[in-house]
Amino acid sequence: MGAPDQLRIDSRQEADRVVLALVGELDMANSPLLQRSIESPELQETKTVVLDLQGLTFLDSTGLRIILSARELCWRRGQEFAVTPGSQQVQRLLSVTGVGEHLRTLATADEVLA
Amino acid sequence: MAASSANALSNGRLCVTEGPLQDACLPADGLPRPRGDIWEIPFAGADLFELRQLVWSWATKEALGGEATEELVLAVHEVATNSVRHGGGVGMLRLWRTGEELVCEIQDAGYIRDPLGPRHLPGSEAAASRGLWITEQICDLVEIASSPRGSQVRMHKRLD
Repeated sequence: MGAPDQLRIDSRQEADRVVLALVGELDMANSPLLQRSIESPELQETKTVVLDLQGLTFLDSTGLRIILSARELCWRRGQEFAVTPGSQQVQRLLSVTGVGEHLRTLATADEVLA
Repeated sequence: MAASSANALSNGRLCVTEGPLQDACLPADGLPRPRGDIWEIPFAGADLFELRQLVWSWATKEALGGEATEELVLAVHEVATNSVRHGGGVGMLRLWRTGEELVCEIQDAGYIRDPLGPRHLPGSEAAASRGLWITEQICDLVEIASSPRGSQVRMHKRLD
């Protein structure tokens, strides 16, 4: 079983933002997939990057670190960065580490940033 | 516990122990070996996904609650990830049940130089990179034995 099989990343471009929807499980084995998506050229010019975690069923500390580095990269580029809530397990990890408090969270990927 | 959930990791085995553990990488001051049925599953880096599924199936079958099961799965995964990264690339997962709790133990060849480290509260971003610290937060008890010969991390979850 190849590790990347457990994660799919659907990217969609909207007016002034790119939404990366994570579907499946994000862990040490497949976090490079997310890293590559975040560094892709299509993300460089957009105003806002949204990581849609609604289809994410598992997240570990490695994946969380990649999400934080994505936020840093967006900040350095002057972009807005936001996430949507993931599964109960994902929310638990965000809350136990305190990272959730530092992430801008939208109710859904369709919500417009104020 | 049913061996059927071990299909993915077919080299897992159920063993009953009475004497001391003989493994080569046992810490010099290893944790006391429990008596009774223990399920042993060796793993490597490519097995983490299946390892999570296996722990989830076992804990669910043992009637641990949904949220507690997710926490146990994450805890085992984080410690197993450390084995893959820092503990020689492979490890042994052991699962057993006592009267009141489920216990998961991971043994590997790594050396945890500061077993008390996880108890210090790091900042939230540092927390994200510390699997062992996360494990401490989501288990009812974590026991660690470590020496240059290897490490054991034993995670306990109460059955309510």
